[in-house]
Amino acid sequence: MKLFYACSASTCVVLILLLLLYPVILSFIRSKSPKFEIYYHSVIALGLSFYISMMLLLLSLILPINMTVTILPWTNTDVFDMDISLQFDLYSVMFMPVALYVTWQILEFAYTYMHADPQINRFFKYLLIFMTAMIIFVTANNLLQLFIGWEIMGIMSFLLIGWWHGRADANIAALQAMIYNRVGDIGLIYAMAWFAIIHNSWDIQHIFQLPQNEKINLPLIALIIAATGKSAQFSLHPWLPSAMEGPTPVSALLHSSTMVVAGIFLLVRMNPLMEFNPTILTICLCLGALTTFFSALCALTQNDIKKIVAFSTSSQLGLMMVAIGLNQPDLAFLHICTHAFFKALLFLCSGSFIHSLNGEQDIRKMGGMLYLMPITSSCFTLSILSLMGVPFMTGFFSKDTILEAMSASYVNIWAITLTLMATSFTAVYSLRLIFFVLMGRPRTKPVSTMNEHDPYAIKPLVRLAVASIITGCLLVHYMVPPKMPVITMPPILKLAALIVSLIGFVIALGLAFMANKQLKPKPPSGPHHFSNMLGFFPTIIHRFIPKIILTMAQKIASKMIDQTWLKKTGPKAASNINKPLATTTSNVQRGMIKPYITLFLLTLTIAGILVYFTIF
Amino acid sequence: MAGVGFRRWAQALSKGRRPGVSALLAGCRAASGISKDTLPGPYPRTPEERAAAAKKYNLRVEDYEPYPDDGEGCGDYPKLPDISQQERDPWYQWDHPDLRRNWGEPMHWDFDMFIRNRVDTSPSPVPWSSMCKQLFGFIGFMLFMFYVGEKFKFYLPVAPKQYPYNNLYLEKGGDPEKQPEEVKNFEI
Amino acid sequence: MSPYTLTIMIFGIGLGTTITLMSSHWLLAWMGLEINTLAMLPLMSQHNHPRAVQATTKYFLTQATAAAMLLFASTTNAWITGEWAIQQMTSLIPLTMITMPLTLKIGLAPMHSWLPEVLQGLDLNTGLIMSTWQKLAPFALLLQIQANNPTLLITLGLLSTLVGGWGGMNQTQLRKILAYSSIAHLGWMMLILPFSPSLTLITFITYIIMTCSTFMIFEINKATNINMLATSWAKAPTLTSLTPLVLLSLGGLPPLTGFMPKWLILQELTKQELTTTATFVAMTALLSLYFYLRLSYAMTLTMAPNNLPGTIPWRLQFKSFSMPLATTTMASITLLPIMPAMSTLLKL
Repeated sequence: MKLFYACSASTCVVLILLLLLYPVILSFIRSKSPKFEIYYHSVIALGLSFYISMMLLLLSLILPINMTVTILPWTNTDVFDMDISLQFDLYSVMFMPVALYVTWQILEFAYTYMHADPQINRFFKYLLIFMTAMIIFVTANNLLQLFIGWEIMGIMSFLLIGWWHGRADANIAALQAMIYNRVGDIGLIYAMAWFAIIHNSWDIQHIFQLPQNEKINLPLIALIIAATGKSAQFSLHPWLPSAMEGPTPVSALLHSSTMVVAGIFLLVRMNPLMEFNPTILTICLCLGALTTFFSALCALTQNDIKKIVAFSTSSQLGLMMVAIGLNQPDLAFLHICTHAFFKALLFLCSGSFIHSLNGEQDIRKMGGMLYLMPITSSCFTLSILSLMGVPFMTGFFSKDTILEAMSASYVNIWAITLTLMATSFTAVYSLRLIFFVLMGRPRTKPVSTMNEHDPYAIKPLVRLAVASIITGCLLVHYMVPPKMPVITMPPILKLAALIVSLIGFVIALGLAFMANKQLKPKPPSGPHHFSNMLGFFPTIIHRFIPKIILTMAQKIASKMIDQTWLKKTGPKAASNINKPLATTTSNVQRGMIKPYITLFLLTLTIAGILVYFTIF
Repeated sequence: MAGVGFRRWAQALSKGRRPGVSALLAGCRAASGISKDTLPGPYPRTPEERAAAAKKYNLRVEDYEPYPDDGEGCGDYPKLPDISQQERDPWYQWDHPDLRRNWGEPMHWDFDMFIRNRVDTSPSPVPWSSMCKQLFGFIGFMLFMFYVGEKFKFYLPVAPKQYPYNNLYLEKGGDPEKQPEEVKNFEI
Repeated sequence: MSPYTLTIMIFGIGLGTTITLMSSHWLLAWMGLEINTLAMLPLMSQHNHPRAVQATTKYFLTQATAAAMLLFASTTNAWITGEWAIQQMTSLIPLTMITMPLTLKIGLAPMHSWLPEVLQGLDLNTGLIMSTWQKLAPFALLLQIQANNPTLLITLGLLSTLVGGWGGMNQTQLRKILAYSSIAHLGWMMLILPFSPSLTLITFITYIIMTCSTFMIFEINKATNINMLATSWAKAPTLTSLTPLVLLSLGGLPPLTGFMPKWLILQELTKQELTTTATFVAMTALLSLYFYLRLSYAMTLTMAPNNLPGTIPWRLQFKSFSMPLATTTMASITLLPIMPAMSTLLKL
């Protein structure tokens, strides 16, 4: 039975990878393919892959087995073996269909959004390569495969953010993503090196058998840094909002639903290592809480629709990190899955609005979309409700569980406070989005060409909307361990998440109606600046660090090393020391015979005296 | 390219022209440092010297301000304001639009630091010091509060539910033959 | 100078040195030195130029002082020990008193000061004799003294290498540079004299070969200062390209002949556990190397502006010196491979 499962599971994964790579290879073989050929192939490939992954999921429902399959050895040295091995556990088996489904919808949608782009074939190729990398990443059973998937995702993210590379902003954003991700990569590489040196294995199952002592804190912190970089946690977060310079399908796929959760996924995978390590868990918790609060805070005052959604993504990633910190990796993973659906939907709806408004992203220039694009608006509202965690939407099942688990744990009080505040902020900026984009009167340009006739634009939205309603319920039944004790808790605790959301909603509503009243007109205040300028973080860090580095380069590398060391104490010192001595030597030569003879006699005398005293 | 270079060199040699060879030698010198001709001149002390230096660097006398004469070897090189090229007018027709620079314009001593994709000094709506105070204040406050939160942990009496009949042992399908272990989640 | 006189004088120079080399008695040795000096003096002043006469005078005075001191010391030695034989010197004070005039004669620091000035006053041919043949007799005496004082000789040797390096740096006159080069080389020889006289001999021979070729090259180029070297490319291009090798050989760079003595000396010093001295003397070689490099640079790497007639002498054939020049130049460049043979042959 196990053999059957192993065979079918690895066949499924290999099939999926081949299917995904088929359009890419096709484009290499065919030198000139018709404009949308790759697109059609990609959509079919993704659809098929999704169904294959569903088969795998069903199989694992019937036979709940955690299994690692070693396909073939990669390189074997005497002391260090590397195999190509796959892992089929809850996480990989469940994440594949989710990611493939979301990608499928996004790709289908991208047809509308990107159809005017001259390089559209390459665009889909990038997306497919990215998806391949994601599959490699989630099924990896050793750190090397994991790292390969991780790095390909990083490169693809760079290429796709810089898709419109004619614009300086897109290039800067792509570079930012690259640089921040490299910081994270350093963490991952450090952890890999540590495991290779100390434990002599990159196999994840072997690593879990490491003795749990103080020393393991180092690689764990490195892993947290890796996750911080990839999942845009606080201090390495600024690249995520900048990444919105890329095309909206890219933002929907990479920077909300799949790639950015890779960091969290890594920690979920590695959770057995940190399970009994309170220090690491506390770091995760505090980092997550800070991220979720800070991102929500920044989202409050943004005017760019994609920026708001990006910050909400960042905030949700923080929430996932909180779940990791609570030692509830299953909940974090659940949130990864549910979040993928509704955040992809949110992005696609925003993309639809932006596309219809000829690339206008400022929510102040939208409005009244409810009447102009009713289906998209409905889907938008649905996804926002899901994001807020309105009961029995998809987001509720994961978000509320995390908050509940948090309030039922013995944890840092400030982390809880921040998380709850972030939850209420979620309600605030969600309402703000709905208020500005959907409600009111249109503030768009008078000539409006928007319509909802294109089935390629609408079908994915509807499919994702359905998923945003039902999947949470399905997933949660599969995920939550059946033996989890039923907990008694006061109603205030059980309802805490809902209450703070409601409070936020009500306050935001009050604020929204105050906005037109002009009660106390005054210029934007300090806190507004803080929130609107992303907490001044990018401004300060992006100016301060290069300045420090370049000044040090000038002072230390150029002045100290080159001028002082290599010049002043080297060649210059040699000449400075030798010059006066050479002069002195020459100065003896004055053409006078008397001193020469005297010198001889003097030397003779001195030598004679010395010899005399040496003898006697 | 090398062939051309060599031919020129050979021509220079055969003609015995000095510039060819000395240029070659100067090229060799450039490997270790700038040549004597391109070094800045001595520090200007009199107003006339200042005027001459300003003219040399295509500056007005009012704008000309040398680095302090503290032995770092800057000589009469003008001390230009620390302003990045990014800050300059993007719509002006610069001779070199990428660098936003005109021909013959004096170059900042640390020009490398202030090109467009390095240190940005463009003005921000909030002054720099205020930004720093707010950001680091925020981070510091957060860290402090996390520390406090770590001292005073959140705790509400939460416990698994305890049902009668030994937590419904038999009702949950337990084995009646075996003596189940006592379940006691809390004292009443 | 008439050829007869010249012949007699040259014969005298040869005779004096030979007598010294053959003698085992101090008086005879002193006599040889005197004959040698007296024969040299007319040769030096043959051009009747005030500078040459001045140089001759200086040479005479220093040599006379040295000879007098030598005589005094050997007499003292005979007085103390009753022994005139050169190889039987035992008493230390006369030994020191005898070493000093000999080093004055070959021009070691700090008794070197006459050498650059005397050499500067001579033409290059006489200078060649002065810096090679004239060293032979005192050197042979130094070699023969058995119980040398190592400390004294090492001190003199180190001082000479230093002074040779520093003195040469400040010069633009080729003959002075060669004088300082001679001082530095003699320093090396003195350094190794107490430990391995055969090495001293090897050093001396290679020095003579190298300095011969250098003097002859300068003679062909008619160059007496650095600037004049810059036109040598127009006179003898092949020689110009070989000259840096000769100069660097003087400086002691592998794989040229000049590396051989330095290598062996450093090895011997290390064997004698004088590592510090070896390091120090190797560093002082860099000082000399600096001015050899400067000469090479000026000669081959630069090209002075020249008028048109000045660029054609290379079409004419040189008659003088070609055979000895070729021999010594090749010897001073390529002799390193026969080092084992040389060190075996010259074992004393």
